[in-house]
Amino acid sequence: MTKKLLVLFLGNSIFADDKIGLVLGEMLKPMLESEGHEVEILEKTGFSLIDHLENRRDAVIVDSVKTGKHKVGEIVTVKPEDFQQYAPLTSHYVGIPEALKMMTQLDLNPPEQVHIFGIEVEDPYTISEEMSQKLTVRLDELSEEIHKNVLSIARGASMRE
Amino acid sequence: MKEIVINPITRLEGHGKIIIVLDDEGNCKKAYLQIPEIRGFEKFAEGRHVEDMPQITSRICGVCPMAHHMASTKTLDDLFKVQPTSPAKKIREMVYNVFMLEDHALHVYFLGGPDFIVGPNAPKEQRNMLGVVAKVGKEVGLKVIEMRKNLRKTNELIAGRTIHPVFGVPGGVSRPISAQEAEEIKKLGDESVNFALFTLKVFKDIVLSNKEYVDLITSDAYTHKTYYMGLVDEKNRVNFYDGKLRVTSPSGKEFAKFDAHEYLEHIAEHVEPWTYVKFPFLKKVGWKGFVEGEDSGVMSVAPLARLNASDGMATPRAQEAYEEMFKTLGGKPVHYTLANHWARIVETIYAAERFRELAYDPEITDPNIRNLPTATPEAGIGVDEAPRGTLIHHYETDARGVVKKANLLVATQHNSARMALSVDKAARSLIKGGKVDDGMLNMVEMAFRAYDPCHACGTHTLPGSMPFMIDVYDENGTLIETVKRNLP
Repeated sequence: MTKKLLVLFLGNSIFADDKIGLVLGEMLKPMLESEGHEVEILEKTGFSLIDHLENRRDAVIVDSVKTGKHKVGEIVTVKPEDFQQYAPLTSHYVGIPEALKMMTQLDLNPPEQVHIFGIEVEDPYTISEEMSQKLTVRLDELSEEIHKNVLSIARGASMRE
Repeated sequence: MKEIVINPITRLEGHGKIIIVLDDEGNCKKAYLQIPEIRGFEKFAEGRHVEDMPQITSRICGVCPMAHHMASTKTLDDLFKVQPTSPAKKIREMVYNVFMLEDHALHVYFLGGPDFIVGPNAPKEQRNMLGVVAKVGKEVGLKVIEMRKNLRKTNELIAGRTIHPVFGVPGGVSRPISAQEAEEIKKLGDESVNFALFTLKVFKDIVLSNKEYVDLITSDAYTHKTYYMGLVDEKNRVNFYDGKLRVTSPSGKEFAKFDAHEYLEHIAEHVEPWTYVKFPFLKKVGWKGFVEGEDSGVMSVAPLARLNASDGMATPRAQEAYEEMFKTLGGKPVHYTLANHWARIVETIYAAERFRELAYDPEITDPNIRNLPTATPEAGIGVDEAPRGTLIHHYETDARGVVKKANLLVATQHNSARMALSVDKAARSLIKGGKVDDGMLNMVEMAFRAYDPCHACGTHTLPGSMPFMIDVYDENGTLIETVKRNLP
């Protein structure tokens, strides 16, 4: 199991705000890699995430989320156990929680800790190369906050060694 | 309502809304399946350089990006009037079969699988991929995960990326395969055939040996006599990458066989006010409403339709499986919607065998991978068979290759009329006395899940569970019950 922290930035590049994870990934990748972390920017989901999460001790996932309960551009921290509220699982879709559960069920060495940061977005459904204005103006702050969070997680992880 | 129908559900695979109208006795009088499909891509494409279309259209969804990438690449061949070199064509077809194999395995084990491997009436907590693993065992679960992982790796190696490939260019592919890479690919080809045959065994052991399941597959609730369409080669055998479109009638006779360029002569689209999806139908038969039979232009695509529209499979073990399926189910054509699951496994075997054939073809490592286009672009049409049916791309450009018009006929659309029939028939068979419960929900879902519909445009989501809503109305149009799942 590798101790190197993995930071996954997820998104869909052709949907307006849904690309926020990808945009932040591009912004932070050079810095995070220079700090010794592994960064992947992915337009993937489901079981294909298993390929990336297997044998990782710690992982961070940055993705868009639309709860309607937070301000646009706010970072929502989601714990894997929070996904319990969405049980029972359906046969239709495989997301992060299903991938993690499958890894556990099959002894595929899921990460000891997965930290999920959802960025509350306004419009994740419109096909557009542009993000919403509300989100665009928050980019620099979001980048800084995510970076801070990753550093904090990395420190915590190194203290567990 | 608009927000529920369009906004929360468009980024997930297999979303839908069903409206059920009851009569005075509480029995289903009519059921509607609403499928809001994003068709904005045609507009989105206008003004773009046409060479970007294989990358743009592969983002239509995260489930079948390769199907769009390939249809788009073939459209560019046609548009620039250039054919791929022989090695490039073989590389494309090999990659495409790897994709089909991986996608079909996903449906067999994790999307459609829970209905049969776990059981249609199993507790809903178990009716998912984790339930499948619990039923078939950890070893099988690992085998499926490992095989899909290796298939994705192979396509990443050849096509640059798994989910949004970047290798198709007009006249060929972007990179050759080295001799060393070919050796690895051959090994995976061998493993793939074993995996596909193992999958057939699992299906036989769990599904076909269970009389209750076989009765369900052959039940009237899931049966429609419609036309069928699929790509066939020169011997009328199933082909996913190329060929002519063949249509067979409900009685199994060849009704039409045409080149993709003639699709507008054969296929038209009907529009209904209650759904965003259009209903393609056979123009020469005509739209007669949501009815089945020889006089109705309703048609079907996807695995069962492809097998019905063909005269066989081009590889030996797939041909054996093809013959066994039709023999067991009473001969061609088979009209049982749920037989799509079996047909999908027959196709899985074909995809694996064809992948292996091409992996061992010495021409696969030939560096002559591209004919450079020199013609001025104008219009192009490309077709392939997506896992869930026939996919057609059609672009028109100016002389600089800037898109003026794009038309995409996606696989799930071709099935939309028959899926509407399926949901209506299943709901009528199941909804009695106004009772709506989770078991009903699943049995109605099974009516469209067998087609493996793909309405997704997103490649990821939270919470990771499909939003679904059923509205039940009385005869006077009064809403009497709404069953929601994962919707506010």
